[in-house]
Amino acid sequence: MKRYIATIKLTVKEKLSGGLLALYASYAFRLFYLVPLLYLWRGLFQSGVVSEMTLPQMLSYTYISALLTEQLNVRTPMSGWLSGDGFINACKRPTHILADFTAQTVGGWLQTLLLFSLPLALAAPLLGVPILPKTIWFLPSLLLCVSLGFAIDFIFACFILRLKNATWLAYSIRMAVTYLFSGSLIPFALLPWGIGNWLRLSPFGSLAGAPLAIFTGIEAPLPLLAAQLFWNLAIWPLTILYFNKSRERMVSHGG
Amino acid sequence: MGAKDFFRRLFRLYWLYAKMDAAWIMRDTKYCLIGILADFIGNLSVLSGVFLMAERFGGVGGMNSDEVLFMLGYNAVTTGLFLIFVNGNNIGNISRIIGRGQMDHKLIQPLPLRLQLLTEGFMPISGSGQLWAGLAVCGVALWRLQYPVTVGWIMLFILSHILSKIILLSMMYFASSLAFWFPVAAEEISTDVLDVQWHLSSYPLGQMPMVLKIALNTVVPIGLTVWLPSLVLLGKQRLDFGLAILLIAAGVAAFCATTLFKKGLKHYEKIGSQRYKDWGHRR
Amino acid sequence: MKKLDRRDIKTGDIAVSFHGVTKTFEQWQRSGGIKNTLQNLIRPQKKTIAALDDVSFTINRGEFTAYAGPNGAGKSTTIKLICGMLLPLQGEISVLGMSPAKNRIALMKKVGVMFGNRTELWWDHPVLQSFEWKREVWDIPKEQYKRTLDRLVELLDIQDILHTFARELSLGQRMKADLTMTLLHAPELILLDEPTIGLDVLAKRQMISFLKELNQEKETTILVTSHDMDDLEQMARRIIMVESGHVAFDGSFSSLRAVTGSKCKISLELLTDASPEFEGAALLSREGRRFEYEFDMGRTSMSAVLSQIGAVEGVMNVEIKKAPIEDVIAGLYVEWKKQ
Repeated sequence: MKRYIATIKLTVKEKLSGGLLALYASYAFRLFYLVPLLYLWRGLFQSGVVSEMTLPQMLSYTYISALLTEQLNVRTPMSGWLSGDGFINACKRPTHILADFTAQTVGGWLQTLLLFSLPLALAAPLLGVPILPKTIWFLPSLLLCVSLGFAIDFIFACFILRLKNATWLAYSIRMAVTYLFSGSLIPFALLPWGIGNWLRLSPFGSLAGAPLAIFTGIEAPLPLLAAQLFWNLAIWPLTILYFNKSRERMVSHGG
Repeated sequence: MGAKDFFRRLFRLYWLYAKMDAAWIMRDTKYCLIGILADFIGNLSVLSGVFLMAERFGGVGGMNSDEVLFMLGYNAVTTGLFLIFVNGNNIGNISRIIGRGQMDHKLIQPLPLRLQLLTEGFMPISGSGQLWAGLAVCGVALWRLQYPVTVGWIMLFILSHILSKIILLSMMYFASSLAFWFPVAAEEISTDVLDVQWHLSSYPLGQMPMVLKIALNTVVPIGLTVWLPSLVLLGKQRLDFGLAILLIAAGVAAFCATTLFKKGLKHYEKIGSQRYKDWGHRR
Repeated sequence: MKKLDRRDIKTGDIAVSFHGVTKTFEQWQRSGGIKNTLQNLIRPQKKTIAALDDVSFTINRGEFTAYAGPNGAGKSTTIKLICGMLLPLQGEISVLGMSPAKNRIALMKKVGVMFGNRTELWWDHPVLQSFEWKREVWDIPKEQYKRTLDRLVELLDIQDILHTFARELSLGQRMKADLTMTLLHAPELILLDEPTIGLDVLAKRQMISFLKELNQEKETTILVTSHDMDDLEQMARRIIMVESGHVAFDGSFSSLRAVTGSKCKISLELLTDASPEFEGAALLSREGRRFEYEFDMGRTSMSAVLSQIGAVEGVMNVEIKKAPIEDVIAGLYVEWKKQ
């Protein structure tokens, strides 16, 4: 465990090495996205539309989604743009490869949680956004979401490398997952024609959409947790199998 | 390089990159087709989310669902043009080239930098999927709206796209210039800009508070890349006013981006790059 | 320590001229502790490094010059300054009669640059496609392009890889393809930064003999950096050595040996176990009845050494070796570090 903590520490320091200005420039873009979105929902809900959700629930959903965006839609360096180098480096270390990438990912999260999410969480009352969960079941749901997120990301990474580094392809599919299939931006409850019911059943529906729905109390927690557990149990063995089959290609990647 | 020579080289280079793109698609058809499909799926998901919401609530942000559909189509065309003209070799994502210390690869070419940046990202075949999808969505929306399309309107559609692209690229180059000073931290800043632009530009800004509306059309002019041009094209905003705003914004944005980029380049020439990453270069 | 011996160097027009060039960089410093990391977030600590400090030298057209120095001595910075990628803080640089800062585009038409650890090849295209791209961007006339390419393909033996995707080449193949690409526009000045890095013995020999031929036949000016001193000695006649941003030596390899002390190693194989002692010599090692001594030829003449050896009984074998240039340079680096 010490080895992984060392990797986490180093990743945090690496992220902090560029100076505050550059770090906050990146956070500023997140705010540029979040603030207009909050006002968009306010405008829509105050115009008198009938919905399954209340305005505070919707604001809370959007806010938490922005605060925990990296945890709700996990992206590891293994599926990133530099997968070839990163993979070979991970192979050279006396650590488990998937665990090493997990440590690198968690290290990357910490500075954002500290410098962006925490201040924003404290500022939530000023913006009139409730940020306390409706039920404590949110925490196990978030853990299952993160676990499933890692499993799906590792599958993406193997897929990229089998396709000779087609990172753009993975990026596009991931966008689809993030912005529609996972429910991180638009709650399934708001989608027309029952589309949300179908998406909720997919493995992607057990990512962001599930903990956010539990957090805001728009859906009953236990069925969602059961679905999350099911997808974790179903996908992790597939991930490990696919990873083991793809390992050699990853090492030889790059010629 | 004189103007005549500049344009001669410009078109020759476009032709060269078009041939290279064609060669790439022919030799690597499987990946290319999957790539086009993935672009299509990815961007459509961003757009369809907003459309589904508009459909569910009978409109959003002061636009009905068909108008929202047109705006989303316009957004897809903007994205498509981005993919065709500057997506290759990270020319659009210039912060990656700067941050990874790869400007040296540009500086050894006996071409003006602006000519390289104008042409090296050109992928007219493999990058075209989104453009066709966007045009189709616009067509469907206009048909549902029973909107009269004239030659003048088409010219306006083209002009507004040129202005939208100038504004978008200026935003990206302005932010990317930070990578000259902060290569590690700002290496992916152009991706941040693009992500925010792609996703936020899908939302109609009509019901937002005035302060926010002004900010999104001036400080961070995302509203000018899709929302305002869509209003102008749908006749929901006065043509002279809308066009004047777009022209002024494009000029100011291009000026700011060029100035900061040149300043950054001077800084690069002074300090060089202490960082070099070989990945991503022409991959 | 500075010595200029230009007797065996061709004269003519100047290809590269550095006059009082200074170039400094700032390096970020961090101890690694959490407190220091957070402090650096607000006020980064920086250290100024002089990559080049008042450097002056000229390289004539047709010269094959080695540019050497320990890590961080300023070798790559010099190449980047010659290309106009970096601007000097002070001093004047002229390359092929032009200012790199003002005439980058015109200059790049006449200069070929190759960084051994980087590639100019297009990763997702066959090698030939990269060459075609170069023809267009460098505006090389078709005739000339075809003629040069044919010759380079033959000389560097790359016919088999022309249609292979760059990503699938081995390092040696990639270097050859990169070198071909560098030379396609028949540059008047070639700058090579570590061109033999990672190459096997055969590939290295081919690369060296090709570059020598190019220099001799076409009188192309070549400036090459490498950490492999034996490679440099095989290629170049002149060596400029930089250390901590200063030119520490500029002259021929033979004068470099003379300046650093002409060390010579002699191995003796004897019939007896006792190691004989020689005036002005130091015993370096012994292995059974084989003894290795080091003489400084600047102090003791070869005939004096041989006459001392002749006086020893039971000498079975004598082997005289000049110190390899690697040893000469390593000795210099150690000396510089001590200063």
